[in-house]
Amino acid sequence: MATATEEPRLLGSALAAEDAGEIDGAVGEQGLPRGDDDDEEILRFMDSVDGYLHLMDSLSSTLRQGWLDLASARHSMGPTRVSSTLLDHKEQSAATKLQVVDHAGLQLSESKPHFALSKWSLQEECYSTCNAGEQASSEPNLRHRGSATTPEDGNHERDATKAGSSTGSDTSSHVQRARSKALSVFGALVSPKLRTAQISFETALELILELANSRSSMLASFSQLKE
Amino acid sequence: MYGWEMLSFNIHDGFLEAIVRGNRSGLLTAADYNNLCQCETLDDIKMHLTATEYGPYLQNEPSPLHTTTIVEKCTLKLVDEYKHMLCQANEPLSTFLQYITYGHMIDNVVLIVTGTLHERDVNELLEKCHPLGMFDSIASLAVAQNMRELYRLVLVDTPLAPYFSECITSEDLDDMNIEIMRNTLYKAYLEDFYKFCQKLGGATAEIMCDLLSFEADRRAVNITINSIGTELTRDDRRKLYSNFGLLYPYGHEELAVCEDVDQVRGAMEKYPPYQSIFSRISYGESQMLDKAFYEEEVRRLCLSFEQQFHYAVFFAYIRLREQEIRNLMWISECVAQNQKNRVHDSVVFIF
Repeated sequence: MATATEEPRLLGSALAAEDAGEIDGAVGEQGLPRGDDDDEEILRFMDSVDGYLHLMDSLSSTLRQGWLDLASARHSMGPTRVSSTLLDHKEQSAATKLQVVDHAGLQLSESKPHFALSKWSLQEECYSTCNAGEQASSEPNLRHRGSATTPEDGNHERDATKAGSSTGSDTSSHVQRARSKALSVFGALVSPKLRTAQISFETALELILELANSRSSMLASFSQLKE
Repeated sequence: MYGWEMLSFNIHDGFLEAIVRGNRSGLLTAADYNNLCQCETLDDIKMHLTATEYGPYLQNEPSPLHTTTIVEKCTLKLVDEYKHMLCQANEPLSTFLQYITYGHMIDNVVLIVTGTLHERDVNELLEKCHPLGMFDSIASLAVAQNMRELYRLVLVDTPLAPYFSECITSEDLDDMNIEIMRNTLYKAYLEDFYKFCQKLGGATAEIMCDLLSFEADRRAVNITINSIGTELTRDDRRKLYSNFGLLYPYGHEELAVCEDVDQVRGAMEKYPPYQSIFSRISYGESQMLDKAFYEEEVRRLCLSFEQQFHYAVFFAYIRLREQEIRNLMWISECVAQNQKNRVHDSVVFIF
């Protein structure tokens, strides 16, 4: 994950060098000739590719661990207790949502994250779309993911009210409750291995998001390089 | 009278004891497991199992195989052997053999009820039920809305009827109530089985009571660990523990208030048989606890074959076959996921 945080610093320094170069006209901030901007672009692109590959490795190992934990839970609890036959077919609202930032009007050179995840209905803007029975949002930029939580009117309103004024501990207990509720399709008392598998897949989801953002910035760098 | 079974046991039950001892020699050995652990694909596993007693059940399965197919076919072999023994058993052995399957019956009831709550198709659920736990009116479970209806419409005519007295309510069935129902039924079943074995007396009572006590203690530990961090209250947790076993009653009092795995360890280490189990696991870890308990169970089940003229060999054989099927499932999953380095995390060798 250090790669993802290093990338903005590299981009920041690269952008700063560009701005200084524009002011001076002939040289950049560090006194380099203007042609070296291409080298910096290439460097930025290679950094983003490196970050992307690291994230792919992390995702692969996290998913492998998650699948093994799931198999381990099935071994511990029995194949009848952990199987796709128990998944809930009832209509339910999404507990986790994906936000797509609309880039209309923004320059391609700005590499802000294009995707954001709202997990376990923690963000306020999700509560307007998290009413019981409602699954789709009216906003065209929001994509809804299926969730294992069962819609219960009272619980969703209580969760919305609590998270709106939540402290850190309230948020974590809300997340814990949401996680337990998601696992309740397999029973109320599940093995710790199933909970571990859930955490692994949750981490994998976050990595996929980082991967998508990293890919987005990588493609933006590549486009600049081609120009 | 204990010690005099050899005078009369073989009259009615000698043939079936011979059958079960013959079947026991067909269990997979360490060499078989070593070969299986080196397989690269599920087809390799199928090829190795074709050379064992599972051969007739797997040889006609088409590729590509799935791990659930291997488990289903191996379970079919166990079911065929069980039915072969049951149809030739006299009383009280036939009742004893039926008792062995009531646990699966409870699991099937809970599967149907949970699946119906989640709006799943009944036929799909019936396919997933364990064949040892099937009964005639099982499909009718889907119409019940609460436990009272469950009992009145379906379960009153099944062997599980006596176990429902402690959990009949008119509350609607939800995930927590179903879980409490499952564990309450299993508690009542274990206690009933325990009393039945005590009534049989002799070597059967001695060996079976030990095995069932271990089962009750293991369930208490699993219920405790699985309920940590959930909404299950201490009182409700305490009510799910069986009223027999080494941990009853003082160990149960300590387990009921445990809030993490280390506190469970602290409660269990006071009992020498379980101290050796927990000594193999590092602090704060619960992942290897299942394997440690399975190893201890297999050790006790294998020891039951050292004595003759009792019914515990039938119970031990069924449980050892189930362990073997769990081993095959784990090996298949590791091979399918290309994680063969983790195979020995959960395989328990038998004999």
